Amino acid sequence: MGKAARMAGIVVAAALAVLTITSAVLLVYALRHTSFALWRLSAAPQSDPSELAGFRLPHLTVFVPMHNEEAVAEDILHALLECDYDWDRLQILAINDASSDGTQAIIDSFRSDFDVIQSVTLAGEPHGKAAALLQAQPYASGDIYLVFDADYLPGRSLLKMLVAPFADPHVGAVMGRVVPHNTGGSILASLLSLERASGYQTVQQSRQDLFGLAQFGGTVGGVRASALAAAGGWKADALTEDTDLTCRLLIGGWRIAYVNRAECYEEVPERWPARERQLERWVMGHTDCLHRYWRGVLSSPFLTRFQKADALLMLGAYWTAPAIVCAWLSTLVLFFGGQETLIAAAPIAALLTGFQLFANQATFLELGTAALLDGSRNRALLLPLTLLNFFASTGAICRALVRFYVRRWQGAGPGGWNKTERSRPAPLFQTGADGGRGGELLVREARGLYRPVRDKRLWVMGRRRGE
Amino acid sequence: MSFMLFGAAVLVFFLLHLWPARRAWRRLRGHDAKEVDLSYVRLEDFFGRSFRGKLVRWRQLPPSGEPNPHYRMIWKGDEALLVAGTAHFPEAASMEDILALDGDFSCGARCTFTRELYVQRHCQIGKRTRLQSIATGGDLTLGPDSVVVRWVDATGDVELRPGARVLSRVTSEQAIRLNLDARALSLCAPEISSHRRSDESVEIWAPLRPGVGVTLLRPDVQADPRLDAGFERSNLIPLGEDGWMYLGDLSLSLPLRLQAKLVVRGSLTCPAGSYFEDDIKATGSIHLGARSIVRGNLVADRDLHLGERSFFSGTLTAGRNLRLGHTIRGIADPEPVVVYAGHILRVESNVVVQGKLAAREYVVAVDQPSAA
Repeated sequence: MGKAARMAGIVVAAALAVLTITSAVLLVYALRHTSFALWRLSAAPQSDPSELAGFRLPHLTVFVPMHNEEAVAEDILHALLECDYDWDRLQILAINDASSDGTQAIIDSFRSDFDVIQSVTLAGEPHGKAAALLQAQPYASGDIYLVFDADYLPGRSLLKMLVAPFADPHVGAVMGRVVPHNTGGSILASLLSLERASGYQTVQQSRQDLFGLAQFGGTVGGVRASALAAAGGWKADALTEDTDLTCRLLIGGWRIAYVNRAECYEEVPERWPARERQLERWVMGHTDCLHRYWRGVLSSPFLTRFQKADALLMLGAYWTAPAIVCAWLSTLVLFFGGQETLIAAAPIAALLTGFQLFANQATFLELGTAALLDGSRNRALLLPLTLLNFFASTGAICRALVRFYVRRWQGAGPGGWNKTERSRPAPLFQTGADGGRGGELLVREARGLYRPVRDKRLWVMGRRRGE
Repeated sequence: MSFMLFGAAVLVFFLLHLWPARRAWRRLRGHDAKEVDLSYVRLEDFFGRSFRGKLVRWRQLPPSGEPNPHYRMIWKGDEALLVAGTAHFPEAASMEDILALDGDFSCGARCTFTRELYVQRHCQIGKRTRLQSIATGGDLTLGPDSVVVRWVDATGDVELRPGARVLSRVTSEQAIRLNLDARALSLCAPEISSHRRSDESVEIWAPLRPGVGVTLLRPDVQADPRLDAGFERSNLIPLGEDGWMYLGDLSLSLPLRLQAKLVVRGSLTCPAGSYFEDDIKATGSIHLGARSIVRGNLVADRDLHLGERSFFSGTLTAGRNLRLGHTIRGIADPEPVVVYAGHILRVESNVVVQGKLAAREYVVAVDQPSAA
């Protein structure tokens, strides 16, 4: 009996310790994210480089890596051609990463019509995005590199908005904002659109304003060629090459600018298996970056203490999922632990209650804040459904972390790259009656005003599904 | 029993949360997002251009009311558009309709126009007149202390007389002249000039070459020993293949000739005659002395002060306040320059800029500070 009681006491003490630690960690994140939401809700002015857009145009190379992207390739190449960037300073590199469908034929048809588009073909097995960028880089002639995933739809002024922050020599990379266009495709897609809005409108903008520390997201973003070289270039073995590059740039003293108005459509997964695979890649890649760079972040002479803390919290963000699970489990242990534990557990219970009321709400506060700032009040009503996404994601993140650490213990790498499944059934752009492509192209004259250089017809179909 | 009742109440409360969520989802289902306008092109003169385009369509609507040889009245919904030739409004006149004139326009003092104005030819606005917005096909003069609540767009020259205020953008295809205390949120034109004395020259001069006695800084050569005039060598760290980062405030006693990018993690102060051939950034403030030449971009997270008779041909950006000293020239080479302040941009006399001046609060023409 004495032994059983001792065991029970040890278990309860362990549960108390776990609950204390996890609650403290989660409270830190709660304070961070609540601060972000309150900052965005305040009247504080946000930095906005769009006033500089279009006045200094560096030589630009746009990378578009593609692997079996025949469903979307035409749309993004169309959209890039319609951009109002001076073609004398623009190079579009369409990278065919060992596609087995009609991707190369699509690229070739655009390349034959437009000199501004060049093709880079990688043979053999698919290399992954980072390796594709690395192999295409020798063909790049620009001072600034922008990257777009193939399923994105850049607007006409997007390139100019994205390069504007590079007037600051301290800026090594820039990130725009991704906006899901398939919000009505499924409940999951609509919830992910809320999540994206929160991540950019609330978190990225706040980190930019408060710490000057935005995150490069690998698409709808760009990097200065000299900064990329100084940071060691693209890492082909990185599962999340964007987070990896972010860390190296920050450690090396560069800044990453976020341009909230530089919006671009993307596709989000509409089915849970695709979302889970995407989450797994992000979790494993992110956590791998934490292990690679936490020392570099702490020792960097270019980061202030607050910046170091925020960078580490960003890298460790996925650990909150197992922390939450551990907090729940330890709560259950304490609940069934018996009356005599209640006194000891009372302050912890108060902390947990505060955490449940306060900390978890930080995430939902961010989501609601983003919906409010976007003017999408109706979409904010979806918030209760995010609980479903929250529980599912928590489980998926925990599984991914377990897989990561098992692989790490076995000496294997973080894992291979998985292409996110596309849901777009057919190209959105349609050719005109004369078979031509594109729309009215406007070129900025030296006077700062615009004139059309070519008259073409543009049709963009924003249609309801099923039409 | 009480626990079951409590559980049931929690369940009902939870389901009540889901009901508006379900309704919101049913509204969204099947629709793609339409928030991002893929065809949007950022134009400085967007407002004027948009208004002119709408006006062309409105003028094609049939006139309303009794025919009149001097003007036509067109109703567009519950808005009225008055189309006429040349017009002059006396003092203290007011108008609440959109006005489109095919000739010249002038008005006396203290007039009020609550809707947009379009003037095909030249326009003279009396002092203390209040306008909503105006687009002209010729020259425009805003009288002293007049206020335009929204935008101004002109094909010809625009002059903002002393105290005139435009609370949004001013664009011109020719030139904008800012007199003392005139202010606007943003100005964009091939030439923007501030007030000057009659004996001051407006001639746009070519920048002088750097004189003797400047220090050099380039990443591919050993640093000039004269760098010690203000530099702590241990604070200088390479940033990429074409730049440096300096840790701490940098206050130089010798003019600096810079041939590389420089990021100063602190404030930067340079004496007169410095020459920057590449981009510079300071996380603090930047104070450049007189007759400085800036070929690259100049970025300060706080304040930026460019000394008198300086020249720049890139982008000047300040997180807070920015001041352009008198007789500064900002010359397009070949692209237009842009100057942006996160708070207030002050422009002293005889400044000429080819491009854009803008600020989050306002751009204002000011006097030179009096000598101490």
